[in-house]
Amino acid sequence: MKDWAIEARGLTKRFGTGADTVTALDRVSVTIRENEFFTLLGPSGCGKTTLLRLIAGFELPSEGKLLLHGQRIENLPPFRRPVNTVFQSYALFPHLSVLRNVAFGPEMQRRPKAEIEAEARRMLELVRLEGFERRLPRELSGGQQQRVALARALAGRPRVLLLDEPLSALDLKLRREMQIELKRLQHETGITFVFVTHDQEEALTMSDRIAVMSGGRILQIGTPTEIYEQPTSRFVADFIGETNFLDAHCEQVAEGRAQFRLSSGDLVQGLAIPGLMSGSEVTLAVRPERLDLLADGQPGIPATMQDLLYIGNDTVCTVALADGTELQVRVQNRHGAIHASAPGSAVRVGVEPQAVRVVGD
Amino acid sequence: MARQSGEGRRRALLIAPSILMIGLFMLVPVGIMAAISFMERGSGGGVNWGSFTTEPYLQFLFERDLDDSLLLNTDYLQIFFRSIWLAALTTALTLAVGLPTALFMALQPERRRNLLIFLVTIPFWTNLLVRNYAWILLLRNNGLIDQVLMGLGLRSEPIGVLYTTFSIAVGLAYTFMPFMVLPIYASLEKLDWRLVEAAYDLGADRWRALRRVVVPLAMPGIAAGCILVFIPCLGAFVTPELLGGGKALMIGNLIQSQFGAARNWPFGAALSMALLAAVLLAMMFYLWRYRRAPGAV
Repeated sequence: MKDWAIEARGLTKRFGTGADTVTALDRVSVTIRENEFFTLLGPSGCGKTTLLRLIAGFELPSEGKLLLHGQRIENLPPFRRPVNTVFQSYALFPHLSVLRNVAFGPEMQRRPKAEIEAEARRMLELVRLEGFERRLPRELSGGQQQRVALARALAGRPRVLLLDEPLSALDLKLRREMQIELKRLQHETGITFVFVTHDQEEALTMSDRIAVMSGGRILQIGTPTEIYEQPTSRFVADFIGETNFLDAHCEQVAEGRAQFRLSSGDLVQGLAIPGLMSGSEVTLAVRPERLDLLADGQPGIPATMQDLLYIGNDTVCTVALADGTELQVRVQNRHGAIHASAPGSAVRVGVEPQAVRVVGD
Repeated sequence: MARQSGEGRRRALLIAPSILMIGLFMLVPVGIMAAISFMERGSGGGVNWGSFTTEPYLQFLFERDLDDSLLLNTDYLQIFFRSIWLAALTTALTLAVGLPTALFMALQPERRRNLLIFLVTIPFWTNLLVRNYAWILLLRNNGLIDQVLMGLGLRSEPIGVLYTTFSIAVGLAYTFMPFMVLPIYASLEKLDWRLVEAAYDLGADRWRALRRVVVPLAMPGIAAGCILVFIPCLGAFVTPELLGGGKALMIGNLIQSQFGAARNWPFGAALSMALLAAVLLAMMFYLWRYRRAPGAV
């Protein structure tokens, strides 16, 4: 219990009144461990930023409890919470120098003057911005401003650091750099990071755990591998990575395995999930890279090649099953373009049971 | 190249009306005033054209003894500083009321703001004299304020605030309030409120967020408001006359009387020049400070 940095129980946030009420957050319960890199992932409007703002204290919850290291904080104003935020827009004070920006938090905590200065300089060193102390925010590049925002948020020595899509304004190369930088900072400071993003790749590479959100709810919480390999819902499977969805009829369930009949009439083997009953109609999720493209005549589901998309390291093939159901198959270009069967030619699709997952709606 | 100069000519044409206005209606009158201030006074008002003397400026600081030697006379300087003090007090009053008002307006929903701007400008619609007499009715002994205070049992006798420097400042503050509120509002309206959120986030309570973030960022508006209130207050003469009861002479009243009753145009012009110089100095100080201020520290 004690090593939970943040614990939310039944957190609900409604905006507006009467008929205009919008529920931005719907009974969200989540626990975030100390020193964890925790990511809230979802499309815009899913409630991830609202949850972050509730933790920061910019909004007060309509219902529910919020605990920080075991202490109730849901009704504290932001300046009484040991939580700092890195804003999407950075929100650097334009009238203050880089050093004064970073020193703002320690100053507000009324720490001794010498300590404030030393702390600010140490933080600038941590984000590798020595020598920029006297500059104004507007004299810095986007990436440098980002670092100042980080240093400023960390200088207050928060228990939890909230990051609201902090990398979305950076170009790809800089973003990659900052991703590594953020991981390093989290490692060096030992502070719990709560990171908000709509970028699934960013979430997968950086997080210890991810909460996937949609419509004000958390759909699934898990490690990046769990979220990617074992999505429990159609939304999660669809939002993270590419996925084929297939309507199927469960023929039989035995010993953790199940047999499904696809709408095309073909049979596939897959993993059973708890509660799966034979005779039920289900949706199967299969990642394109977990499928194999085989030559006609080999064991597999018969299909017709429709389209080939060469994307460098891989080729994404679209094939059609007997009833016209389309499937994406992603093949590595390991031996040159050997899979370049012409559109219209007959192929087989190999499906391994571990790749087939039943997902809820 | 030809297009360039054509462009330049068109631009010059655009600005020509205002240059003409400023030249004709500002520089020329000021020049005439400056000239008058160096002339001898005419016997029945006006001036002796073509004469030259520095007497009006000497009169500002000295008086002539019987043997024509100069003695320092601080009467006019006192009036001068009293006016500066009054203008400063008025500016402080408008700032104390105007800043919270502008802050309140900027925090209102968009729809309501235009209505509030409209309300702020309402005093402008009424004649200055009417407004000043209204204040006399409010402030005089046994006036409305006294009656309310005494009716509530908060005071047993009139507060006797009319015809004091303070009552002049109140009247002036009321008159010039929009000049303070609107520039501050304009700068607050542009303020990125996420910066205030950031200040809260870093541990600043409301007061410190206001002092460390909102006020510094609204400084251009605050400074503009202060200048727009301070300068006209310095030369005001109607309100000091009415709400001051003519007891405390202000520089504006003095100048007015020199052109009127005293029929000493050169001295009036010299006083105006001194006032103008004081204002220009204040402006230069502001500009000099302001060019260095942003981003200092």
